[in-house]
This record gives sequence, C-alpha cells and structure tokens, in this order.
Amino acid sequence: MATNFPGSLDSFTNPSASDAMDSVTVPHADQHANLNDAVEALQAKVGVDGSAVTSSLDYKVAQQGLTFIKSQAIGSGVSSVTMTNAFDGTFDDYRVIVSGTYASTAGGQTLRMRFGSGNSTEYWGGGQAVLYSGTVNTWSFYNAAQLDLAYLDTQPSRLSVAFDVITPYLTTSATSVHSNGTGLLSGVWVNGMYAPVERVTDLYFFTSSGTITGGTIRVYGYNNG
Amino acid sequence: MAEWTRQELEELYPDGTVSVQVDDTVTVMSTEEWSAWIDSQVGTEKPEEFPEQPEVN
Repeated sequence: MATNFPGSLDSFTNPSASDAMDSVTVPHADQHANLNDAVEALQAKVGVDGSAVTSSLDYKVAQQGLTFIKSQAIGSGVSSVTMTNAFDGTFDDYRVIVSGTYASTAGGQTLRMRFGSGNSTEYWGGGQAVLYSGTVNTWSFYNAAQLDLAYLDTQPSRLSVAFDVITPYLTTSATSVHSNGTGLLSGVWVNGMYAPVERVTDLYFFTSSGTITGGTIRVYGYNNG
Repeated sequence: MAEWTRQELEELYPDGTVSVQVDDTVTVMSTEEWSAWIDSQVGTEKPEEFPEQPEVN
C-alpha cells in the first residue's frame, strides 16, 4: 500500500523474523516502497527551509505572528521579581502579559517595572490612571527610576497588564513601552521609554510599597516578518 | 495623603516574611536587607482609598 499520510495515519504491516525475503504476504520490496513513500510525505508536510508551500509546517511557522518565549510564576510575599533573558536578538519586539498577581497586604500600591533591577534611571513617559469612580490621575515619568503600569488589588486579583516592548535588544534605538493595565477599580495606560540606546534582556517588577503574591509573567515575541 | 511609618511597615511586613525573586529562585531577605527595604519605604505615600464598588443587580 502507498502512504495515506498526511490525509490519515498509515498502518503498515511489520515483517517478522520468520518472514522470507520473497514472502508473498509481506513483500520485501513493498516494505521499502511504503517507507520511502511515507518519508517523502513527511518531508513534504514539514517543508524545506524557507518553504513557499503554504501547506507546509515550515511556511506556517514562519507566518506565525506571536511566539511564546517564557513564563514565570510569581512567588508569595516578594518585594521584586526579576525575569532574566526575556529578550534577545531573535525578535525585535515583544509582548509581555502579567496576570493574577495581587498586593500581599495593603492594596492600591502601584505595580512598577524596569529593564533589570540595576537600570534605575532614564525612564521617560506619561499616562493616566482612571479610577472607575471618575477620578483621573495623570502619571508622568521624567528621567524616572521606573515606569508604573497599574494599581494592585488585594486578593482576589483582577489585575492584568499587557504591554509591548519595542526594540529592547537593538543598539540603534531606545526601548519603548506601550502598556494597558486594569484592576478592580482602575484602568491605566502608559506610554514611555527607557532612553539609553543599549541592549536590555531582563524584566524587573516591584511595587511602590509592600509586596506582591501570585500570578504569572508571560513573554511573547512578535514575528519580524 | 498619609505616609507609611516604620512601625506600620514593620507590622505589615515582619522580618523574615519578605523575599526577592529571580526567575524560579525566591530568597528571603536577611535582616539587614529587610531593614534597608523598610527604610526605603518609610515616608512613601499610602495607597489611595478606593471607593467600594457598587453592587450591580
């Protein structure tokens, strides 16, 4: 039988130790032919490097918009969380999502970020924190020590922050951040940058006061196209 | 707006309860590190009082 792949999975008859080379029930030549056909079908499905065949896996992977890079569970009662090697030269731009974390004791403190704990100057930007009661707080970052991304709630957390990090690894431009965050009673947007034109690889989260507990940080890379 | 005092912070975050996390490694602060961390937050603003969310039926 010829291969059925990729339409369906093959079910070949394996020869046994007692089958003769000239077996009529398990023809030797058919064994080779079936295997050859199946391997060729697999190669066609996987595709060659840089494949232009739209049904090949190589082509589909190359067209994928976002690629998951890594995730980090946040511990209990931590004053800061560092995710190392979040960025490298594989992608120009990245998506970071923080969800499910909450203030350990006193809610309402601000979730903050830097590109590494030691990179504590040259954050520039602005945004607004809108309490759902109607109060609007304007946030500005003028050569600040961090960017603020959201207000933290106490448990249970409704916090989520999603932000794009633009060109953290390129040495030809600064690193930009475009962020939206939401909690139980506030929505926050912030746009800003880490001004030095240098490579950054790490994410560092901390709070304006107190500690945080739980949740996950996830990083994805945008396809450069 | 009210500010944190050292006594309030020490009551909220006693020595031995605050950690630093780097990737999967969570390390409890030493007493010296904890004391410096408390110092860094004395005088910072307390969180805003958020109004209670109205119940929606």
